[in-house]
Amino acid sequence: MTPISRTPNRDKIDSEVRQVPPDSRMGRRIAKKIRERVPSAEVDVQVEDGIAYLSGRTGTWNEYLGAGYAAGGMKGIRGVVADITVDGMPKKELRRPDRPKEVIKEDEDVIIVGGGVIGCFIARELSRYDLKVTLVEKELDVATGASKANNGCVHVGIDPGKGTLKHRLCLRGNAMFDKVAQELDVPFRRVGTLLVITDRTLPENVASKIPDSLRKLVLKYVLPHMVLLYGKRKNVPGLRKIPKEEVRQIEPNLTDDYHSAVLMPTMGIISPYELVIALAENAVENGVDLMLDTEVTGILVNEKNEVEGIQTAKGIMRGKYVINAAGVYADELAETAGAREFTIHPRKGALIIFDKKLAGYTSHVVSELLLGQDKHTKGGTAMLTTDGNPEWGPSAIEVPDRDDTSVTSDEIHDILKKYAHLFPHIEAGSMIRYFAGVRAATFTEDFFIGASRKASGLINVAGIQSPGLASSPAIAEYVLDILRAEGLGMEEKPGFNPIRESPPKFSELSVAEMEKLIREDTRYGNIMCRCEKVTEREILDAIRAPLPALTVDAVKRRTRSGMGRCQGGFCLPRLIKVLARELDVPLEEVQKKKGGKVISSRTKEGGQ
Amino acid sequence: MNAKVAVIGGGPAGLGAAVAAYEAGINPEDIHIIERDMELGGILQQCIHNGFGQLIFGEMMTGPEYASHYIDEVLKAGIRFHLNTMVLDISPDRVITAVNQEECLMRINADSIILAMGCRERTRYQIHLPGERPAGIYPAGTVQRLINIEGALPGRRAVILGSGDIGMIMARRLVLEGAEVEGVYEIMGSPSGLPRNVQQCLRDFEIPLHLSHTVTGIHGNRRLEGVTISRVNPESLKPMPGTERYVECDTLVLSVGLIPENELSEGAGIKLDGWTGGPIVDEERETSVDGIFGCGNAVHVYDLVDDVTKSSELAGRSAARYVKGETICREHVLSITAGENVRYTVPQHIRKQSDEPVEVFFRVYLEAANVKLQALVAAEVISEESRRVVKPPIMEKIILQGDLLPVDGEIIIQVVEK
Amino acid sequence: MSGAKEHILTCINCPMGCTITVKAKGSKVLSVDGNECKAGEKYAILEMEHPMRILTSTVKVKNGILSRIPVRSSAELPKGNIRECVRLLNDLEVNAPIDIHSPVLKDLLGTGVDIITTRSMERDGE
Repeated sequence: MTPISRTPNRDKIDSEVRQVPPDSRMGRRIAKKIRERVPSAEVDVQVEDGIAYLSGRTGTWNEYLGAGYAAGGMKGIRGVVADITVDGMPKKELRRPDRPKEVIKEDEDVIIVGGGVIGCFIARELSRYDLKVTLVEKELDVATGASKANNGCVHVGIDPGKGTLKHRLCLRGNAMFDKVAQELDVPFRRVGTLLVITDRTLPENVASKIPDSLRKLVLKYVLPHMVLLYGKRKNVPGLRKIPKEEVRQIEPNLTDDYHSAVLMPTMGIISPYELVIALAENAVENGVDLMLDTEVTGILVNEKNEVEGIQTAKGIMRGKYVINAAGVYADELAETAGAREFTIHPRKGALIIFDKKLAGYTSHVVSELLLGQDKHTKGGTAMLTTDGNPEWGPSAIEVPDRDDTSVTSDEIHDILKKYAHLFPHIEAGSMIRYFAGVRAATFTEDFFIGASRKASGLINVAGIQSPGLASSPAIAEYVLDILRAEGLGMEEKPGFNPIRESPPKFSELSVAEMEKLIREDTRYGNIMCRCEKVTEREILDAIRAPLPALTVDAVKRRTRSGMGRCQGGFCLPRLIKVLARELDVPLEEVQKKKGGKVISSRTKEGGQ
Repeated sequence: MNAKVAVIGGGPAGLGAAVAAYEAGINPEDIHIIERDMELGGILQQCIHNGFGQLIFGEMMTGPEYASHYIDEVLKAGIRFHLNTMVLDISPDRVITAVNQEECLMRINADSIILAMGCRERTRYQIHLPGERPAGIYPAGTVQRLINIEGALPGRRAVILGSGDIGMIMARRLVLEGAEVEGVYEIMGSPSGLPRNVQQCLRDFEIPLHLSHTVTGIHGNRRLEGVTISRVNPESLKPMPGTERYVECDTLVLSVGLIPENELSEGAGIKLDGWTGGPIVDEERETSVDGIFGCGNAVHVYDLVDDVTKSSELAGRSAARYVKGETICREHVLSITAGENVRYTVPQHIRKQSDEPVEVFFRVYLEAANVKLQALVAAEVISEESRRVVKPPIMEKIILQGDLLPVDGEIIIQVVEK
Repeated sequence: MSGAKEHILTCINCPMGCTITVKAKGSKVLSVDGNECKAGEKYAILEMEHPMRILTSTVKVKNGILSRIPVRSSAELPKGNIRECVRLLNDLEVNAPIDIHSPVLKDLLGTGVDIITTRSMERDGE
């Protein structure tokens, strides 16, 4: 039941072209590798259908990761299920509380679980067809997880290994962005990556062994040339070595302390949450039912292992196909269908944002080539967001807790230090925010996309991390191919409208345009967020949109209210009053996000 | 629209400046106050505690009472004001662009401008507070607005980080409104707010003040669930491993400093002082841009509203003088340098030649007892005052006699032991 | 003198916040030291014998441009009574429009002190 891709130029799927040794021998090889790498771990290995099932115990989280990676790195392994306990960490019990058995959806064609960029993109693409599609999201908004907490880079596709899904989908996805961004009215700019080669590019142990003159030669000529070759091998278009004089012109605040630089022009930047919101709105306008605040507690399968629908906190939804786009919880969701084919291990990434005053400071996505670093922690850039804030990061830190979006002092310090090499004159004092998201990494380090071989009708779209955003248009296209191959008929819907318009952003207008808008609607004359110049009308637009903003954070992501240098100190008391009025709830019910009420009660009202 | 004097901000500084300009002979019709809120008074309207007005009125007033005195003056004089109006831009040639719901877009060509935008609060991000980002973490001024204006109690159990005045005052307010305040934590070895607030806001209500402590963790994904508190090394101010303590709370109030608000000033090309965060001004409170003056907390953060008013009255008079073409020669610059145990001074330089005395405001770095405040010109003391004690939270000032000042060169302000 | 105790106080009369050392036997003050001015001495003696505070808070207001109006006590109240006084304010509601310095509660707990508004407030929509 392998999905057959019908797009002619991608007829190969990795696991099929690899020569896979028999399961038992593979199991022994993995066990040996784990013993070598993590001698103290006690891990049993079973391999079945290309999936490595690890069980046993390890002493630490790092050993757990070591065992997982050892298996995931093995050629021919397409998934790793790590059922390994870690000493001192109680195994999380999956909650299975009694849920309402009421059937709230009778016969959906496709149910998508998860309102991140992947779920929303698939929903939007499915909305082209005459299908009954429901997207369920547990939070009060879309894009509340990794999809909001990344830097919005639309990567060029040079990093993933050739032959991986990541590589193929990133290349294709990147090329699809101009059209999507235009249709959905989301700011997108192909700014290009400037990859600089510095004294830190070569690892210490290598650099120290090469004589000075040779090292300079390597840094100045050999490495950039290798990057070009590497780009060619990965089919990344347009790479060129760029002389210092030109760099000085296009990125004047960049340090001069580097040896050479390569420009990769196809790198793009987009606001990741604006993209998701736009996709969701467009999907809703084209008939997708988007249910917020609806936690999925399990996938319903019959005795023949066929998907019949899902159980949610609000009741049962019946449907033929379930798309698992549940991000860091995708493995737990799949498990409820008895379909364990991969384990997600969370990897946190922190980013820092600088004041918009520095908008003119930088324009490209600037990266430093750092060779020989741990491949899971490399990456990160200094860039400018589409809103004009310099942004540095992300870091990459393995964390046991999937909800750990904390940012530690060390992370802040490390990011500031790392990118100060590139932009030495930016002051830490102009940092206005930091945040973190959690990547849904798998041990095979590739996307895990495909029809489950254990529960028919379940399509896993898992392990989506960088370059997940860049790949998202291609992932959606690929998932539609898989659905067709799985037997879902798709007939184009005549009324599909690919266009979504975003409401005007007051602060981006000329003075004349501002005046015109205020004359049309005086609520444009009421500026509620001082730092970002967000008007009452824009806030109302957000609350009254096809996908309404229900929380302070949802309004913030749509309008930038509270995203400026005072971080909501000024606008929050004003904003919650508008939200309470518009949502017709008491002030004390207004939430920052689901479960996070802004205030606890009113004064003088029996509070004592 | 034309204005002789346009005042940006209708808080205590803006009100004082407008009234002073009127009293200096500017037609009230030609004075425009631009205020972003729905009424005049600025932050005073939410400062319902008392302690204002002692220097000017010799009595203890609450914030709204203090504000209403000046609002009455503005109304009585017939000075024009625009409420709910946000200034978008000030150009170096003094064109103000603002929006509101009635006039839509306003352009004011001003002969002179007085910057009275006040200040904003430092956020958790500016002090690198680590952890999660749940609901329940608010700057003290936001809490003050929520409780005193909106009647909204932010939470049931609060921890307060920083012993700034507003933080201590809000500790008392929270307790009076029925919330619990677990404690106030201050990274420094001494409180950053006024001593009287330690007494009447904390001790009176048995709220513990923990010096040399800070928050090193914020827990809870959705609503704040607790914070980690650590003791800090008094010298390095770095948290000391092993001293962590978890404190359950649903609210974290930050009173960790104020920043003069000067985005508009920057837009007008005005030079700012890296120490104060406000415009560099001369003794008349004129900034580096001709005809644009600054006063109040937009120039540097004051302890007392009375001093804000005095600074704004000075700026108001200066603007009036400028408009009337009475400004004295300003070709020479006598710079003022912060010397021993002086963090910064306001004004930063003197450039008008008059015999009027000049008040130089400053803050010390370190608490010290039995000291002399001195002004030196060419190693010679031209002014000296004694203090039993000086403390960083208390702004100091020294008066320079105009006739003793050289035309240019440098004055050093210092605080030395007796 | 036997039974005399030293107390350290912070004067709340002005921003200086003088640290005052009081020697007292019970509430009877024997000496006051450390104050910069006369008000400090007066404060110290009162603080030892019968501490007094101004109370500031808010009360609910109906039909106003805001939902709360700030108030204060017209004079100092015994410190020990502050919390009880605040509780009395919780049940109050006044109507807009209302003038500054209007009494909203008279003769609080028999102290002769009133609670008065510290601002005026217009009716909403006027």
